[in-house]
Amino acid sequence: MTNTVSRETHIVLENIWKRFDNGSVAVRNLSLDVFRGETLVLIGPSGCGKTTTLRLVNRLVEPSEGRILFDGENTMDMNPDKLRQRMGYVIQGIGLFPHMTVEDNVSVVPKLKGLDGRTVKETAARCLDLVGLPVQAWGKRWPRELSGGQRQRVGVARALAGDPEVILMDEPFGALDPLTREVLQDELLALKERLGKTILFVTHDIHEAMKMGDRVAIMRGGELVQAAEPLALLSCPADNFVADFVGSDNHLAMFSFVKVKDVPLRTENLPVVTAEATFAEARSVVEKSGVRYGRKRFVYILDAEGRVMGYADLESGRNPSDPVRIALKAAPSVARESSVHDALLRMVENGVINLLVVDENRRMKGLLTFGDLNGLIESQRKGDGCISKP
Amino acid sequence: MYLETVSADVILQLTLEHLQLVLSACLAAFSVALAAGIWVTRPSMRGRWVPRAVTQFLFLGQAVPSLAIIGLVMALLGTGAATAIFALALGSLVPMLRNVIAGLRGVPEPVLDAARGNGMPPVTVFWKVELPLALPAIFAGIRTAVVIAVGTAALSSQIGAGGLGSLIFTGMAMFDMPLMLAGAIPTALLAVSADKILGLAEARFRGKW
Repeated sequence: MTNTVSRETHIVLENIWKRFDNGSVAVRNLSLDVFRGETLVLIGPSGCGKTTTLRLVNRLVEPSEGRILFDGENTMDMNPDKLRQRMGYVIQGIGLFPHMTVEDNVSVVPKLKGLDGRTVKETAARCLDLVGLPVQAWGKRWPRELSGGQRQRVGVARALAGDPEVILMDEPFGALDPLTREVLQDELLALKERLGKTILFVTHDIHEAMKMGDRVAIMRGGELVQAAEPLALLSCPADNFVADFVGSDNHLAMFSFVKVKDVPLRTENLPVVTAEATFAEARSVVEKSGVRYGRKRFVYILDAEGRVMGYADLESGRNPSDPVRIALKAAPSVARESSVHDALLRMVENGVINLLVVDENRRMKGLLTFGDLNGLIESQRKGDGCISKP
Repeated sequence: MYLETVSADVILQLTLEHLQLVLSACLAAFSVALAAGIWVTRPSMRGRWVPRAVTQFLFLGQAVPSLAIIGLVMALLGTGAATAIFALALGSLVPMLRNVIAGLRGVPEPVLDAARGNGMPPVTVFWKVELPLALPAIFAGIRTAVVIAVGTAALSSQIGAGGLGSLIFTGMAMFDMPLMLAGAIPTALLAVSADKILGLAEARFRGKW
């Protein structure tokens, strides 16, 4: 869980039932809290009620029973248009207005909110910039001229332009090829870190759910089966349905869901020196930390701002009084947002059993060690920390 | 020959009469078609029997030949320009209504969903999204209806409403080919130019998207 997520509820669904006129029941007694700043992913087999649940939140569908609180206020007491202007809405594929330019599409909500012409223009430009489509180059294009990925970016920009408190996303990347989808997922994760919005996200792709979600809510037949953090779903599935759905018996598959930031990292007693340190100093730091890379001993070198410059091999028989920076090499590393699967791959590629974890400014966030991962698998298998084993 | 007594002025006069019949009929028909088309496509009307019955009845009307419509209306309203305009309007209503409905129903559901989901009030959804997207289809309907009406209006001289039809039918009755052509050629030109002009307007309305 990232530090932008609070435990303060933003949207509360209380005992929601939705029966359609044709007699079908889409949602059965669903209660769910969405916390401020979190990404909550709704997932389940088709027909499980996940899209209906999303549409209940912005009142495109109205509950038959129960109530939905947004910021503590019952949504049924609010003007539906004003409510929706406070919630960005992104849908799959072709939701852009085909008769409006990219800029006009993004300007829709700011105009509805009554902003003046200049502010609307500035807002549209800023939001298109955020999704990597600068208005000078893309603003005057028509939706039909864009690729699927670009259209989806415009859709995200349009949802952001109203400066909403919440963004609702209904399978936003479902129609894209796997490569583009991956890129857009990463961009959305980065955007989310920057903007800190509450996101409610519907998908049928468990990989996407585990990647995007701070929490994942699994639905079946209109009912909520389990809502928990990705790791908790894997280690403590509520029942066999959830266990099968998330594939909790397959550790390799599991690692492609689990993010580096969600596993225990070593953050104390790290083998770290500044660029001025000598080999003798570096060796004593490494001895003290006890971290080894197979047979060799390495030390990470940080610059004055605390950014990682690289690492140095201490076994090269240098003069103990030489500065370590003369043996400086680029260090393999992963980002906190990467999956453990990616981290393992990088370990294998580089023949190391410890991996440097950095943030976007290449500041050291800790070390991912193979031993810690082993411990994680072990605890998953035993179901440690589960309230009740299935 | 009789044609010599028919000056260019008379032909122009009859052409204007003809145009007047067509334009007033089509304007009336279009207002009704637009209003009815919007009404039956509102989400609240979905599944109701009244709008469905109305459209079914109108679409049945398409099978009735123009001459029969004129005859039926004459039985009710008697002869004269008003009868002709009413009959022409009835005949134009169907292609117009059909296209208004097709245009409005053809707006993709995800686009409407996005419009509502982004907080557009229903009136804004209609003016900013539904109507602009339906315009090409609506215009195509007007074009078809006007072209048909230009032809049908030639029949209205039979019930004393004037127009270029009077030259055509007199010419036919008197086996006077030039007189008949003096009516037929302007009618044909009128139909072709109406088609072209409305086609240009349609392309303009459609814009670049």
